[in-house]
Amino acid sequence: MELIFDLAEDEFPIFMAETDEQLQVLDDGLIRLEREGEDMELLQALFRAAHTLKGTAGMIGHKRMVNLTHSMETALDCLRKHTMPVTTALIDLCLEATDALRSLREEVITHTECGVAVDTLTDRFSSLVLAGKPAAQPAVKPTESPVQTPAPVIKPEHQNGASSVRTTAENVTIRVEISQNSIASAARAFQVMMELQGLGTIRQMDPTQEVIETSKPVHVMTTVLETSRSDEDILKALDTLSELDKVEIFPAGAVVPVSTPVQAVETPAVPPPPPVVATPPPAAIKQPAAQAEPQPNAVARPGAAPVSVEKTVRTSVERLDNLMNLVGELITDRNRLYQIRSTLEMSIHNSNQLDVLSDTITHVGRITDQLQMEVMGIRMLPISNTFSKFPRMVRDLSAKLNKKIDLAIEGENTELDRSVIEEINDPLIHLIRNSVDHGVESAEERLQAGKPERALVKLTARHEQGRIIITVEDDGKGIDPDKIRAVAVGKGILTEAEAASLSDDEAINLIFSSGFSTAKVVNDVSGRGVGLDIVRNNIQRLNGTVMVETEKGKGTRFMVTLPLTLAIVPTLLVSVGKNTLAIPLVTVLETLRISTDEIQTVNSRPVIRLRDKVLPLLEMSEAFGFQSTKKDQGYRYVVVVGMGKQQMGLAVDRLLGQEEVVVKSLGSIIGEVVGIASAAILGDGSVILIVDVQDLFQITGQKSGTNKKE
Amino acid sequence: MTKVLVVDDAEFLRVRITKMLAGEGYEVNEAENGARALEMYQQIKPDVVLMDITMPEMDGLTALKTIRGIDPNARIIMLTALGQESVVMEAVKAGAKDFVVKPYDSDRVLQAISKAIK
Repeated sequence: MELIFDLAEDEFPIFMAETDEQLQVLDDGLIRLEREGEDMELLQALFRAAHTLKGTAGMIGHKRMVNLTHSMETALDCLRKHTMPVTTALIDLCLEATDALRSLREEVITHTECGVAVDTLTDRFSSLVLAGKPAAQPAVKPTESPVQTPAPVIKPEHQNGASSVRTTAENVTIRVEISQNSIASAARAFQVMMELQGLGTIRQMDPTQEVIETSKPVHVMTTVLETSRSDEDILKALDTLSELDKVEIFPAGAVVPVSTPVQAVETPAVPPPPPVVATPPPAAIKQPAAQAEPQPNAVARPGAAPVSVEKTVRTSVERLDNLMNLVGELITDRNRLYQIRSTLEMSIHNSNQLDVLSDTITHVGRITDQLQMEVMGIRMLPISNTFSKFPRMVRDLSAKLNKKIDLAIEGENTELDRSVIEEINDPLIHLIRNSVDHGVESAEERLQAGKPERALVKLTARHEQGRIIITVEDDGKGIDPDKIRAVAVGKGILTEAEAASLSDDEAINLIFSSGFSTAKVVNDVSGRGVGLDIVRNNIQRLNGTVMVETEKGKGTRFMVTLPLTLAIVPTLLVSVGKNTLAIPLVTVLETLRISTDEIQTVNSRPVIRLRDKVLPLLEMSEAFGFQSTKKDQGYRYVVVVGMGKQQMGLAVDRLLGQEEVVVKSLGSIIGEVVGIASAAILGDGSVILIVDVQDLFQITGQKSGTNKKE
Repeated sequence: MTKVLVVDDAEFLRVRITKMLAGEGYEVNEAENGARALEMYQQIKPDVVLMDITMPEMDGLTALKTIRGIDPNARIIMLTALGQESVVMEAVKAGAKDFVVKPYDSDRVLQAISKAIK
């Protein structure tokens, strides 16, 4: 059966975003509650989240979601009011309910009922709440029969004939029936009382003010009012109140029907006996009253100055993407303008016209830069969007593995482009799983090693020189390079001799090779067939890098470096023969000019010496099969690139300069080409290729045969 | 044009109620908590305020009292939920004009507003 919700298309994203946010508040808050104990502000926030979810679910008519949030809200309300202690059982139940709510929320998309047993969960909430507070007040049920006060007998004090217009104060009896559908009929009674007080003096009232203030439901309210106002005035005053089923006014001396007798609570249909003497029939007002007619308010505010209130607009991601693409085009054109200018400047001298054009181009360039910054700013999101899901994950994982782990998060407000945020989620999940599963030892092992029983996994994010740096750090056992060597040999990745020749750093970097997993048993925590090699590949696809630092017995730290955006990449342009290549600046460490005699050969592969280091050198013309025109000029330009701790030199013909290029995919026809990441269009309209530095490292690695064996 | 200030921390509710009221010809402004409502009340001087009770920063009850303190004629309708009966009583005592239970139907909200501005 297809589920139908009252949710318009334009409301859909708001509903999804808001419910997601509230569910996240629940997830995070519950975990904090468990770890840090009761905290009033936290309990309030949790209560509010459940409350808001209930309201929002109610608005679209999602009844099961309402029922479950209501149960959870009731439990959280007890915690908030300290009528129930915080227990693990309750937190577990709340977390389970939060998961269930996520599934229920999905129904809005799928329109198919998910398998969540809402009744079971609400029952469990009820029994926990009942167990938690034996003397609990009964659950809120507006249908509970109202407690009646003894039936009053209102004695008319005068026998004067009454008219609707009074010249002197008289005692009038007013009988009001309040709708039984009202959730707070007593509050309505209170409003009636206040309205009547504005018209005269209340001589008698049933129920009394004290009873009303206990909030017990009130169905019929009878008041004797000493007033000189007309019946119309009274009716008009009471007409401003909602949920009044019936209002009757009896003149002084009339026999007023007694308030509903105790037995007759459910049947107030007995018609009131007609008032005695010649009086106008009791006026009755039928609810609901007239429809709202928005009309100019009597108290018009002439020419109210426009106030600056809301300053945000909602827009779709698609529009932002389009905007970013347009800015990309603009950057290409700006680069092109720069080139045209330099060509003109070379051929035309001392021209005022050219100066004007040149200034304009400079200005356009500056505006384009600013525009790019602004558009990128709009697309920025705090990384907390991704980070916020991890506390729950670490809690569940550590419970499953029987480890005690705290997750500390820093820099969650660091902003980055939404495209990067979307892509970084999976790699981070894997790195954290890896730390929890492989990095952190069991509690016993930790105690034996003289470490605190609780382990700490730390997740941080920060901006650094136009890049984002994210670290995942644990205080676990660290990575043992010898163990890695042994595993690599055991899995046939390396021969024993090769393994022995690796430095410790090189050995540790083997964890990023494909087919490498040191977990003894494949489990569902980190052994999902996804290795760190996939993590590295995914991060590199984002033009990022990942490196690992580890100290035996102390812990391990993964450091992920990412660009601020995926759409525009700062690159170093180089030429090899007739071809121009772009090397992502994020990988470039420095550039050199070396004489060809400085190129030496070690193990039959070319190397150069850079200060105290020996770097493998990759001749780009050979790597890509380009014809180099400058090979015999006696010197080469070398771009030193690095990824993690690996470094190498790329030999090229010329360095052309830095340029921000707009990344264009190579498309599915060309597919993946080793050594090439993507393409870009330059200012002069020529298409260039962006180098995939990671691939180049693999090429040299394969050549030397130490890094990888296919 | 009658000006309504909708105060609720739940964006979805704000959006929906705003859409409905705007469709009925009201001028609608939104605030996401009591503190903001107070600020905006003084700026915009709305004819009617629809005020949620459970909100961060400043809850609806406090906002109601504060606004009524500034403007004793402020017409404020509380948006409540089941289980808030005693809060409703307190709100009424503090001068709330009316209260509407969530999830509310549009007619009930419109009725409350038209009664409030009578």
